[in-house]
Amino acid sequence: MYRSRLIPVLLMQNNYIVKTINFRDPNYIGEPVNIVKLFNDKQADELVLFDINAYNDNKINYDLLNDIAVNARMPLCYGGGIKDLNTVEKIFMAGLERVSIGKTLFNNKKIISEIANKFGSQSCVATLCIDKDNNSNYYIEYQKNIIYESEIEKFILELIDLGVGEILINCVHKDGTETGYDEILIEKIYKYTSIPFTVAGGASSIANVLDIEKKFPTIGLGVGSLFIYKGKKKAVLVNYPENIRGK
Amino acid sequence: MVPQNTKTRKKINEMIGIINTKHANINSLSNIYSDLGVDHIVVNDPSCFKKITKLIIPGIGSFDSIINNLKENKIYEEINNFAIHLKKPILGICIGMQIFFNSSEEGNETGFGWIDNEVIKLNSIKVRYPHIGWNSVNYEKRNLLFSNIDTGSYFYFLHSYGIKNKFKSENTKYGYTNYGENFISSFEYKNFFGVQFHPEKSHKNGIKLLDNFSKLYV
Repeated sequence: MYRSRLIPVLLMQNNYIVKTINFRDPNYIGEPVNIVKLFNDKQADELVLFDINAYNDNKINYDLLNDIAVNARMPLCYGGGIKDLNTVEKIFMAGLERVSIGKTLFNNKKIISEIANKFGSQSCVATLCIDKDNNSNYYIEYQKNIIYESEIEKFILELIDLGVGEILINCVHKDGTETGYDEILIEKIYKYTSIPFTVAGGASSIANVLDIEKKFPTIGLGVGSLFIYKGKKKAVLVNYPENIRGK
Repeated sequence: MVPQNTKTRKKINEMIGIINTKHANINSLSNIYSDLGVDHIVVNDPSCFKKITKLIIPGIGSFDSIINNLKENKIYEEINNFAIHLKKPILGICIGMQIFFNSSEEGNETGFGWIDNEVIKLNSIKVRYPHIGWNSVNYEKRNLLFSNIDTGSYFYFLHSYGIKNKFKSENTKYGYTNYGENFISSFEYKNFFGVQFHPEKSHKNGIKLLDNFSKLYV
């Protein structure tokens, strides 16, 4: 029987794992290789890693990705600074099997179909950072590009047409808050997507995660703070629920 | 934890060749065999075939791109010889398994055709594709790849295409997985071993399966 994926989503900055709140104020967490090892020992379903500087710096640390992959016996997805097929090939050669495209979508959406044709749709994830304004309207913003709520569906359907294998939604307004997933947003996107869909941002407890899993079958559940911090004072303690599902 | 039994393990005279399909995460496989203390090499050109006793074709890429890559590297014929004439054990993973058959709905190229069957696009209306994530593999008969792995164990899947019809020849041991519908997720037929999932990404169960492959016929 298929089981939904519980996916630690890690952010990397200057070769360290950091954790943000609403994607601001990065807080140092630790060395990527150590943290990936811990999740590997706990047999995490999959791990998603975003390098938040790679796009602007135009630099991907392949050596680090290689070191990470050496220590992982689980699926790995990487996002950050991927602008061409050559880059994708190097990432796969390092031992990862999926790539996520984010900012590049705003100037070169066609990279999705190029990756899908050469490596297959299953290797290609599109990540969208969706925020919510004061009037509860959802939007996506990158530099001068803004996609308003009314246009988000069209944008996602276009990516599906181009052959993307999965949509990953980062809820900016929920990131690091541990206030529960944004169910309203999940429901909207879940309805019109026909491909795998993963949501990250806001997971407040294992009960919250399992509740969303039950309401939206096959959804991927991205988790940040909950698997990184422990207690009210947010002490860094990498954790992952073991033995709650079939092995 | 990754098994660290290199010292206690009895040395076996095997050399596993891992085909460099250019697109695949061959490092993941070689990392596991290094941990297990199993000799292995990455196969980049025809000369490597002199040394190897078993072969793995790893799996990332599309049907046509992988076939074309093998031809460009001039190892297509060597692989065919290894499988058909030398009849040595060969393990295909995901797309690396799909090229064992005649053709695929994913592409226009011809597969190796070692087994008479077609790879089709999976399309149950009950689920979302690609099939990405963890699913269980159920097998009926005891088989070599799954030695000491329980039926119903979980493995990581990442694919849109697959095999649904049984092979025309008998004496095949199948494993099945359900994702909206049943499909064949593993098989053993003569010297051909195939898995639709990614053992190199399936934690303990996958490491055990790769270990089992290295010990075949020993």
